[in-house]
Amino acid sequence: MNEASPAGYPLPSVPLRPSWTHRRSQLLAAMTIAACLVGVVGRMPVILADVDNIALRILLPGALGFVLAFAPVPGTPVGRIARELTVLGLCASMFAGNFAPVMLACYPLLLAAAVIVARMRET
Amino acid sequence: MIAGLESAEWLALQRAAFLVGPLLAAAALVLACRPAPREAVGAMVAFLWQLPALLLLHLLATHFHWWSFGGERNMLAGLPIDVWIGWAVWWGPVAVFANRWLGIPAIVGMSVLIDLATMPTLSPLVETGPGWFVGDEMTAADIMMSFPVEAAAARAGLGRYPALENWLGRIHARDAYQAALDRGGEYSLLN
Repeated sequence: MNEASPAGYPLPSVPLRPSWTHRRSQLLAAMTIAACLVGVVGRMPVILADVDNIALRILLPGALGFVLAFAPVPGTPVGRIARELTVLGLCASMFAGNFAPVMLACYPLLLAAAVIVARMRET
Repeated sequence: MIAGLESAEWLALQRAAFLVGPLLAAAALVLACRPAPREAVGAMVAFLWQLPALLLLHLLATHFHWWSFGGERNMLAGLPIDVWIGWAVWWGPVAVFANRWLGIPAIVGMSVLIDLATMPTLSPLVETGPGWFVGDEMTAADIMMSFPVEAAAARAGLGRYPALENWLGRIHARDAYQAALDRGGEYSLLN
Protein backbone atom coordinates (compact mmCIF):
# COMPACT_ATOMS: atom_id res chain seq x y z
CA MET A 1 0.00 0.00 0.00
CA ASN A 2 2.90 2.39 0.49
CA GLU A 3 4.00 2.39 -3.14
CA ALA A 4 3.30 5.38 -5.38
CA SER A 5 -0.25 5.90 -6.59
CA PRO A 6 -0.96 4.59 -10.09
CA ALA A 7 -1.25 6.99 -13.03
CA GLY A 8 -4.57 8.77 -13.12
CA TYR A 9 -5.32 8.25 -9.41
CA PRO A 10 -6.89 11.53 -8.25
CA LEU A 11 -5.20 11.75 -4.83
CA PRO A 12 -1.48 12.42 -4.27
CA SER A 13 0.83 9.79 -2.78
CA VAL A 14 2.47 12.18 -0.32
CA PRO A 15 1.75 11.43 3.37
CA LEU A 16 -1.20 13.19 4.98
CA ARG A 17 -0.06 16.01 7.24
CA PRO A 18 -2.25 17.12 10.16
CA SER A 19 -3.07 20.82 10.16
CA TRP A 20 -1.77 21.42 13.70
CA THR A 21 -1.11 25.14 13.14
CA HIS A 22 -4.33 26.00 11.26
CA ARG A 23 -6.31 28.45 13.39
CA ARG A 24 -9.76 27.12 12.49
CA SER A 25 -8.64 23.53 13.08
CA GLN A 26 -7.41 24.46 16.53
CA LEU A 27 -10.76 26.12 17.27
CA LEU A 28 -12.68 23.04 16.13
CA ALA A 29 -10.45 20.76 18.19
CA ALA A 30 -10.88 22.99 21.26
CA MET A 31 -14.65 22.87 20.79
CA THR A 32 -14.54 19.08 20.57
CA ILE A 33 -12.49 18.79 23.76
CA ALA A 34 -14.80 21.24 25.54
CA ALA A 35 -17.86 19.26 24.42
CA CYS A 36 -16.24 16.05 25.72
CA LEU A 37 -15.52 17.64 29.08
CA VAL A 38 -19.04 19.06 29.38
CA GLY A 39 -20.46 15.68 28.37
CA VAL A 40 -18.46 13.85 31.03
CA VAL A 41 -19.22 16.47 33.70
CA GLY A 42 -22.91 16.17 32.80
CA ARG A 43 -22.73 12.49 33.70
CA MET A 44 -21.12 13.05 37.09
CA PRO A 45 -20.77 11.11 39.28
CA VAL A 46 -19.29 8.66 36.78
CA ILE A 47 -19.89 5.06 37.83
CA LEU A 48 -17.89 2.11 36.55
CA ALA A 49 -20.99 0.46 35.07
CA ASP A 50 -21.42 3.48 32.78
CA VAL A 51 -17.92 3.64 31.24
CA ASP A 52 -19.01 1.80 28.09
CA ASN A 53 -21.78 4.35 27.58
CA ILE A 54 -19.32 7.22 28.02
CA ALA A 55 -16.83 5.57 25.65
CA LEU A 56 -19.46 5.09 22.95
CA ARG A 57 -21.43 8.31 23.31
CA ILE A 58 -18.71 10.81 24.27
CA LEU A 59 -15.22 9.42 23.67
CA LEU A 60 -15.91 8.00 20.19
CA PRO A 61 -17.51 11.15 18.70
CA GLY A 62 -14.89 13.21 20.53
CA ALA A 63 -12.04 11.21 18.99
CA LEU A 64 -13.61 11.40 15.53
CA GLY A 65 -14.16 15.15 15.90
CA PHE A 66 -10.59 15.73 17.08
CA VAL A 67 -9.10 13.73 14.20
CA LEU A 68 -11.36 15.45 11.69
CA ALA A 69 -10.56 18.89 13.13
CA PHE A 70 -6.84 18.38 12.49
CA ALA A 71 -7.28 16.52 9.20
CA PRO A 72 -5.64 18.25 6.22
CA VAL A 73 -7.71 21.28 5.23
CA PRO A 74 -9.87 20.36 2.22
CA GLY A 75 -9.08 22.17 -0.99
CA THR A 76 -12.65 23.14 -1.82
CA PRO A 77 -15.14 25.38 0.06
CA VAL A 78 -17.70 22.55 0.10
CA GLY A 79 -15.13 20.24 1.71
CA ARG A 80 -14.17 22.83 4.31
CA ILE A 81 -17.81 23.58 5.24
CA ALA A 82 -18.68 19.86 5.35
CA ARG A 83 -15.73 19.20 7.64
CA GLU A 84 -16.70 22.00 10.02
CA LEU A 85 -20.38 21.01 10.07
CA THR A 86 -19.39 17.37 10.69
CA VAL A 87 -17.24 18.31 13.67
CA LEU A 88 -20.08 20.47 15.05
CA GLY A 89 -22.50 17.58 14.49
CA LEU A 90 -20.18 15.21 16.36
CA CYS A 91 -20.05 17.66 19.26
CA ALA A 92 -23.86 17.91 19.26
CA SER A 93 -24.24 14.12 19.12
CA MET A 94 -22.62 13.84 22.56
CA PHE A 95 -25.72 15.49 24.00
CA ALA A 96 -28.27 13.89 21.67
CA GLY A 97 -28.90 10.84 23.86
CA ASN A 98 -31.13 8.37 22.06
CA PHE A 99 -31.47 10.74 19.08
CA ALA A 100 -27.85 10.07 18.07
CA PRO A 101 -28.89 7.34 15.56
CA VAL A 102 -31.37 9.82 14.04
CA MET A 103 -28.55 12.35 13.68
CA LEU A 104 -26.42 9.70 12.00
CA ALA A 105 -29.24 8.87 9.59
CA CYS A 106 -29.61 12.59 8.79
CA TYR A 107 -25.90 13.02 7.96
CA PRO A 108 -26.59 13.21 4.18
CA LEU A 109 -28.74 16.27 4.93
CA LEU A 110 -25.73 17.90 6.61
CA LEU A 111 -23.63 17.24 3.51
CA ALA A 112 -26.40 18.70 1.34
CA ALA A 113 -26.44 21.75 3.62
CA ALA A 114 -22.68 22.12 3.10
CA VAL A 115 -23.19 22.18 -0.68
CA ILE A 116 -26.00 24.74 -0.40
CA VAL A 117 -24.00 27.01 1.93
CA ALA A 118 -20.95 26.83 -0.36
CA ARG A 119 -23.05 27.75 -3.41
CA MET A 120 -24.70 30.62 -1.56
CA ARG A 121 -21.25 31.97 -0.67
CA GLU A 122 -20.11 31.73 -4.30
CA THR A 123 -23.03 33.80 -5.56
CA MET B 1 -13.65 -11.48 36.16
CA ILE B 2 -11.64 -9.13 38.40
CA ALA B 3 -12.37 -9.66 42.09
CA GLY B 4 -14.42 -6.88 43.68
CA LEU B 5 -16.16 -5.88 40.47
CA GLU B 6 -19.84 -6.54 39.90
CA SER B 7 -20.87 -8.29 36.69
CA ALA B 8 -22.33 -5.07 35.21
CA GLU B 9 -19.13 -3.15 35.97
CA TRP B 10 -16.92 -5.84 34.44
CA LEU B 11 -19.18 -5.97 31.37
CA ALA B 12 -18.99 -2.17 30.98
CA LEU B 13 -15.18 -2.26 31.26
CA GLN B 14 -14.95 -5.03 28.66
CA ARG B 15 -17.19 -3.14 26.24
CA ALA B 16 -15.25 0.10 26.70
CA ALA B 17 -11.95 -1.75 26.18
CA PHE B 18 -13.25 -3.35 22.97
CA LEU B 19 -13.99 0.11 21.60
CA VAL B 20 -11.05 2.12 22.93
CA GLY B 21 -8.38 -0.57 22.36
CA PRO B 22 -8.77 -0.82 18.57
CA LEU B 23 -9.17 2.98 18.31
CA LEU B 24 -5.85 3.47 20.14
CA ALA B 25 -4.19 0.81 17.98
CA ALA B 26 -5.45 2.54 14.83
CA ALA B 27 -4.29 5.94 16.11
CA ALA B 28 -0.81 4.58 16.94
CA LEU B 29 -0.53 2.98 13.51
CA VAL B 30 -1.62 6.21 11.79
CA LEU B 31 1.10 8.12 13.64
CA ALA B 32 3.67 5.43 12.79
CA CYS B 33 2.62 5.03 9.14
CA ARG B 34 1.91 8.65 8.14
CA PRO B 35 -0.46 7.25 5.49
CA ALA B 36 -0.94 8.76 2.06
CA PRO B 37 -4.50 9.66 1.01
CA ARG B 38 -4.74 6.44 -0.95
CA GLU B 39 -3.95 4.39 2.14
CA ALA B 40 -6.31 6.43 4.34
CA VAL B 41 -9.14 5.92 1.85
CA GLY B 42 -8.36 2.19 1.87
CA ALA B 43 -8.60 2.12 5.66
CA MET B 44 -11.93 3.96 5.60
CA VAL B 45 -13.37 1.64 2.97
CA ALA B 46 -12.15 -1.37 4.97
CA PHE B 47 -13.94 -0.03 8.06
CA LEU B 48 -17.18 0.58 6.17
CA TRP B 49 -16.97 -2.87 4.57
CA GLN B 50 -16.41 -4.55 7.93
CA LEU B 51 -19.58 -3.06 9.47
CA PRO B 52 -22.09 -5.09 7.40
CA ALA B 53 -19.72 -8.07 7.14
CA LEU B 54 -19.32 -8.35 10.92
CA LEU B 55 -23.03 -7.81 11.51
CA LEU B 56 -23.77 -10.66 9.09
CA LEU B 57 -21.18 -12.85 10.84
CA HIS B 58 -22.78 -12.06 14.19
CA LEU B 59 -26.25 -12.94 12.89
CA LEU B 60 -24.90 -16.26 11.59
CA ALA B 61 -23.12 -16.91 14.90
CA THR B 62 -26.31 -16.20 16.83
CA HIS B 63 -28.36 -18.43 14.54
CA PHE B 64 -25.94 -21.35 14.85
CA HIS B 65 -25.21 -20.72 18.57
CA TRP B 66 -21.47 -20.16 18.04
CA TRP B 67 -21.49 -17.23 20.44
CA SER B 68 -23.72 -14.53 21.87
CA PHE B 69 -23.07 -11.19 23.53
CA GLY B 70 -24.22 -10.02 26.93
CA GLY B 71 -25.54 -6.52 27.65
CA GLU B 72 -28.81 -4.68 27.49
CA ARG B 73 -28.14 -1.18 26.16
CA ASN B 74 -26.63 0.15 22.93
CA MET B 75 -27.29 -3.17 21.17
CA LEU B 76 -28.15 -3.92 17.53
CA ALA B 77 -29.65 -7.37 16.92
CA GLY B 78 -27.88 -8.67 20.03
CA LEU B 79 -24.53 -7.14 19.05
CA PRO B 80 -23.14 -4.39 21.32
CA ILE B 81 -22.58 -1.33 19.12
CA ASP B 82 -19.27 -0.45 20.81
CA VAL B 83 -17.92 -3.96 20.25
CA TRP B 84 -19.16 -3.82 16.66
CA ILE B 85 -17.33 -0.55 15.96
CA GLY B 86 -14.15 -1.70 17.76
CA TRP B 87 -14.22 -5.00 15.88
CA ALA B 88 -14.65 -3.16 12.55
CA VAL B 89 -11.73 -0.83 13.39
CA TRP B 90 -9.54 -3.85 14.23
CA TRP B 91 -10.36 -5.79 11.07
CA GLY B 92 -10.47 -2.61 8.94
CA PRO B 93 -8.01 0.26 9.52
CA VAL B 94 -5.71 -1.64 11.91
CA ALA B 95 -5.36 -4.50 9.42
CA VAL B 96 -4.80 -2.08 6.52
CA PHE B 97 -2.06 -0.11 8.32
CA ALA B 98 -0.42 -3.24 9.76
CA ASN B 99 -0.15 -4.49 6.19
CA ARG B 100 2.96 -2.30 5.86
CA TRP B 101 4.93 -4.65 8.10
CA LEU B 102 2.96 -7.89 8.05
CA GLY B 103 1.40 -9.69 5.10
CA ILE B 104 -2.34 -10.22 4.83
CA PRO B 105 -2.09 -13.96 5.77
CA ALA B 106 -0.13 -13.09 8.93
CA ILE B 107 -2.62 -10.36 9.93
CA VAL B 108 -5.67 -12.58 9.33
CA GLY B 109 -4.02 -15.55 11.09
CA MET B 110 -3.00 -13.50 14.13
CA SER B 111 -6.40 -11.82 14.43
CA VAL B 112 -8.26 -15.13 14.16
CA LEU B 113 -5.92 -16.67 16.76
CA ILE B 114 -6.47 -13.73 19.13
CA ASP B 115 -10.24 -13.99 18.62
CA LEU B 116 -10.30 -17.75 19.24
CA ALA B 117 -7.99 -17.54 22.27
CA THR B 118 -9.75 -14.66 24.01
CA MET B 119 -13.44 -15.24 23.25
CA PRO B 120 -13.93 -18.16 25.70
CA THR B 121 -12.46 -16.01 28.49
CA LEU B 122 -14.61 -12.94 27.89
CA SER B 123 -17.69 -13.83 29.89
CA PRO B 124 -20.04 -12.01 30.60
CA LEU B 125 -19.45 -10.03 27.39
CA VAL B 126 -19.15 -13.10 25.15
CA GLU B 127 -20.72 -16.48 25.75
CA THR B 128 -19.36 -19.14 23.42
CA GLY B 129 -20.60 -22.54 22.39
CA PRO B 130 -23.87 -24.11 23.34
CA GLY B 131 -23.58 -23.42 27.07
CA TRP B 132 -26.08 -24.78 29.57
CA PHE B 133 -26.90 -23.61 33.07
CA VAL B 134 -24.36 -26.01 34.58
CA GLY B 135 -21.37 -26.89 32.38
CA ASP B 136 -21.31 -28.02 28.78
CA GLU B 137 -23.96 -30.71 29.08
CA MET B 138 -27.67 -30.33 29.58
CA THR B 139 -28.62 -31.19 33.18
CA ALA B 140 -31.67 -31.19 35.43
CA ALA B 141 -30.91 -27.52 36.15
CA ASP B 142 -31.85 -26.67 32.56
CA ILE B 143 -35.12 -28.61 32.86
CA MET B 144 -35.92 -26.87 36.13
CA MET B 145 -35.14 -23.45 34.64
CA SER B 146 -37.00 -23.99 31.39
CA PHE B 147 -40.44 -23.20 32.84
CA PRO B 148 -39.60 -19.79 34.40
CA VAL B 149 -37.71 -18.76 31.27
CA GLU B 150 -40.64 -19.92 29.11
CA ALA B 151 -42.92 -17.82 31.29
CA ALA B 152 -40.61 -14.79 31.01
CA ALA B 153 -40.47 -15.21 27.23
CA ALA B 154 -44.26 -15.43 27.01
CA ARG B 155 -44.83 -12.48 29.32
CA ALA B 156 -42.14 -9.97 28.37
CA GLY B 157 -40.09 -11.53 25.56
CA LEU B 158 -36.39 -12.27 25.65
CA GLY B 159 -35.28 -9.87 22.91
CA ARG B 160 -32.99 -8.02 25.31
CA TYR B 161 -31.42 -11.21 26.62
CA PRO B 162 -29.92 -13.01 23.61
CA ALA B 163 -28.12 -15.62 25.73
CA LEU B 164 -31.38 -16.72 27.36
CA GLU B 165 -33.14 -16.58 24.00
CA ASN B 166 -30.45 -18.84 22.50
CA TRP B 167 -30.68 -21.20 25.44
CA LEU B 168 -34.48 -21.48 25.13
CA GLY B 169 -34.13 -22.02 21.38
CA ARG B 170 -31.78 -24.93 22.05
CA ILE B 171 -34.25 -26.41 24.52
CA HIS B 172 -37.00 -26.16 21.89
CA ALA B 173 -34.77 -27.68 19.22
CA ARG B 174 -34.11 -30.86 21.22
CA ASP B 175 -35.52 -34.07 19.79
CA ALA B 176 -36.98 -34.99 23.19
CA TYR B 177 -38.79 -31.64 23.39
CA GLN B 178 -40.21 -32.11 19.90
CA ALA B 179 -41.26 -35.68 20.71
CA ALA B 180 -43.08 -34.40 23.81
CA LEU B 181 -44.92 -31.81 21.72
CA ASP B 182 -45.85 -34.48 19.18
CA ARG B 183 -47.34 -36.63 21.91
CA GLY B 184 -48.93 -33.94 24.08
CA GLY B 185 -49.74 -31.28 21.49
CA GLU B 186 -48.75 -27.61 21.27
CA TYR B 187 -49.05 -25.50 24.39
CA SER B 188 -48.76 -21.83 25.19
CA LEU B 189 -48.21 -20.06 28.48
CA LEU B 190 -50.20 -17.15 29.94
CA ASN B 191 -52.94 -17.31 27.31
